[in-house]
Amino acid sequence: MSDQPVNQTKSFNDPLLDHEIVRNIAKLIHIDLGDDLADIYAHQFSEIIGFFQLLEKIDTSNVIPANEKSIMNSVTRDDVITPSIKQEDFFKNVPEIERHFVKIPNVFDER
Amino acid sequence: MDLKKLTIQQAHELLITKKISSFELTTEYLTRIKEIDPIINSYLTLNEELAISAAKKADERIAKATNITPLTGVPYSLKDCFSTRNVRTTCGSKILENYFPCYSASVVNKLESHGAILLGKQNMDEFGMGSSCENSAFFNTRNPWDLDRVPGGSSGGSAAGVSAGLSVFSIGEDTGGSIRMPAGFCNLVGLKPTYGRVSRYGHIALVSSFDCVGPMTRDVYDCALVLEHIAGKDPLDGTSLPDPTPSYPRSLGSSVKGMRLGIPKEYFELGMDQDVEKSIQDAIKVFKKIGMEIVEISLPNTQAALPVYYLILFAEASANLARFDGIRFGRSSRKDVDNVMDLIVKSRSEGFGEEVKRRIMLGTYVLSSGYYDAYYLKAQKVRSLIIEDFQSAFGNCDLILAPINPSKAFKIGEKTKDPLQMYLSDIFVVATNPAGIPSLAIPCGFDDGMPVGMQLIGNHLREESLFQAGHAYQLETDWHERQPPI
Repeated sequence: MSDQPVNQTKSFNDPLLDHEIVRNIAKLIHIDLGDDLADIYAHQFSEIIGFFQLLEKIDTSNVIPANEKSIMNSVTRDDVITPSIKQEDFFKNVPEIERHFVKIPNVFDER
Repeated sequence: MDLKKLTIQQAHELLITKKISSFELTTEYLTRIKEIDPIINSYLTLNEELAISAAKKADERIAKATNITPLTGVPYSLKDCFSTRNVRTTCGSKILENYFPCYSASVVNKLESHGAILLGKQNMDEFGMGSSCENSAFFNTRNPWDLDRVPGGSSGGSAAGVSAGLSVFSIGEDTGGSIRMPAGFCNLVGLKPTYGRVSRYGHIALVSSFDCVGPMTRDVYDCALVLEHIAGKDPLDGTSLPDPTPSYPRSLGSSVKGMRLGIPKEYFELGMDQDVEKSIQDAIKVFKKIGMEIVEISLPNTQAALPVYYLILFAEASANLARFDGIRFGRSSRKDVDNVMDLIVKSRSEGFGEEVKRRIMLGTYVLSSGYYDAYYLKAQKVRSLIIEDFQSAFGNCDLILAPINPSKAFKIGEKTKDPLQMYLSDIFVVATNPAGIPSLAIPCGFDDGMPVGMQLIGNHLREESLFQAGHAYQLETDWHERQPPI
């Protein structure tokens, strides 16, 4: 695999994270950040990612990424029925239950 | 009895000769915990009732003299990242503050089958994200050697607790130094085993390709003993290794003469406090004295280990922590929410601490379209180079000696405002996890009254050699026998 950047691929030299990127990531991971935290994170993330740029100097042409190397064979086992978690045990941790169902608020906003 | 000194080996001897019962021993620990732990803050949850009833059962087992192992009746503690059936499991997070798992981790089941007594669950950085225990959502744990200092992290509660004599041993988890670093700060022995040596089933995952379950003990012998009882193939963990488990304590005592000890020159270029370096140099002299051959080796990509480790950690952690949504278990912020998305956002925003948010955001960023190749893929490629470095080093030596922490335990609050500085304190311990190889932390000196530790690193599944050399070192030194003032 070549190390040449493909279309759309950013490099370490691109501008580091700003307030807007941080807020966008927060949205993607379903976290509500206040403005103050977004500013602090933007500053910290730039510093952290900036430090990590030292990787760019390392020549990795013709190196296979560790996660693509087959280090293990597929692990399989016989499909044998074994006791499972009891429903009442599972429900002990469920925040809200109705009859035998996990209850959640509306999926579609009715407003 | 001085609980700060008691080893598993000694406890077992007392139990089988009926000089003490497990009930008495467990009660003694619970009493000390109530007296001392309000100062140290190592326990998040005490398991008093179940511990007492388990101790009574262990006494019956000992009375009948059937099915006794060296762990039967011995009280231990557990980092709170392992699921324990019907015992609160928080992982140091508000999002799991009231979570009572309906199953136990395999390591817990194994220890239970051997008759070990679970005293309670110990404090940790939230989801294992931290190097000082200050990222626990509940409270700071203090270092028993100096109450103003951190015990290290993320298995800080385990280290502080064992060091202060609040359990005989503990089970920790090491994703990038989380067993070795606090062991080093608190004068304990701690093992990060080979990846897959101990089942991860029931461990609340941080980085699935790095996470390793291991013992934290007073000496190398105990560490070998615990590993023997928790290692092995587990059908519930597809990444657990099928290799047979050796009787680790049996390898202790044999000569280390001729064993080659590699000293990685790059580690000494990274910089460490003078007293830490002196302790390591003194340790090298001890290894030489006991017949080991000292060889200089090179691990050229040492500096890259920290970025590689953190980039992969951010990425895998962001995926692993996506499951916490306030719907099926854990904190659920239902007040004033209009729809299910509001519920998820509110539960996660209120439930996760600052460092967890920081890391899962960075993980999402490095995995996002356009940045994946530059960060995540690059890190996985350099990870391959780090693995190659170690493999080539092990062509010239049997074991590698390295520092654990660049300094003694730092003051509580000293690094909390600067996450990058906190990450940099992991510099010596992170490389072994991307490489999947084992590393044993051993006390090797003191700096102004605070413990200094070193680590021996071995090739895959060479835990026996680590124990052999570590034990030989402890026969020559008494650092591990010193106890904190508390």
